[in-house]
Amino acid sequence: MRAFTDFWVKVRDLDQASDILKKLRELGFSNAVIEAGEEVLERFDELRRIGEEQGVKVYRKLVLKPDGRKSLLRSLRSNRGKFEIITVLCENLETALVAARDSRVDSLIIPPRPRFRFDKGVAALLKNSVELPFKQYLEDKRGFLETAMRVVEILGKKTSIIVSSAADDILDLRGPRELASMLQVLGFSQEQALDSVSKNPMKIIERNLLKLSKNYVARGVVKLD
Amino acid sequence: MTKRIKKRYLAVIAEPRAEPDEMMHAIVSSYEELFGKFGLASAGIKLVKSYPSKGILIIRCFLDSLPRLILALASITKIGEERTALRIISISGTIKSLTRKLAPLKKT
Repeated sequence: MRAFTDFWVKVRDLDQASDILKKLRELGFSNAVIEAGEEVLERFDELRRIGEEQGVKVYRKLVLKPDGRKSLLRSLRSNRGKFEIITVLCENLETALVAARDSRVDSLIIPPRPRFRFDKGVAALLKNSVELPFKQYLEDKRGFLETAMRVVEILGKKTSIIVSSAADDILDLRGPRELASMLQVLGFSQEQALDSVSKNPMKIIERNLLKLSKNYVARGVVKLD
Repeated sequence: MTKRIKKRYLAVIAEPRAEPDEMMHAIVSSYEELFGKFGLASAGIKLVKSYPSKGILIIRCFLDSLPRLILALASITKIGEERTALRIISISGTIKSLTRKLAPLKKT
């Protein structure tokens, strides 16, 4: 049986987190990657405990919106060790090109109707996954679908695609099959579409948990107890 | 011999609870907005049964258009003036098995 992961959920405070995690469990998710404010981040162990009670494993996410190359690299340097997942929202081509090939970035988001052109040039550099947040679709359906079609057509063959809810409210949360239906409509098979909410995000989380563990030495080298 | 078209039955509930008629109207409008009149006509969407007391709706569609219907359901954010999310409780190939899955829900 598949274990489903919501790769982006926004949480304001711990009270709201409890409701969101309960709803995620009801919808069928067993993992959630959470973008939280500083107050919640300081008490993240408590959030983990609440998650465990509800039956949802919780991971930390940082979403960067850099102006350019320098600020992106600075943020990555200072934050990589603190978060399980780092996502870059690419608002210009310079950021997209750096985020596409930097191994410290886990996923990149191309906003609806981007002000830059992404083509085979970006695809050739791409090492990281591309994320499609469902909340952006709910806000601007046409713009999102235009961009998502190009993402699937140009980048979909080169890398894995992840669909997340990006919800900051219970009513914005969607079930795994509902999120996956987006890719099915855009031409993916049912299996590939379901991978975007199960295998693809889990692969990234597992890889990063290993990197953040004490036993990790270097790429391909792990200390055995 | 003509091939029988496969169908799927979906049990849907609104959060917060809404009238089944309003829910069905929202589903049809959302599908039409996304896939047009031709898409709507070829999807075979039909209201099969509603349980107004529970706010549950059973709708039917052709198997080919199931992902499109799921996306249309997920696209709904408002019914009337109220913010809403439609949740799929279950999907099944026959009404009989769907009602069997819904039986525990109907009791509560």
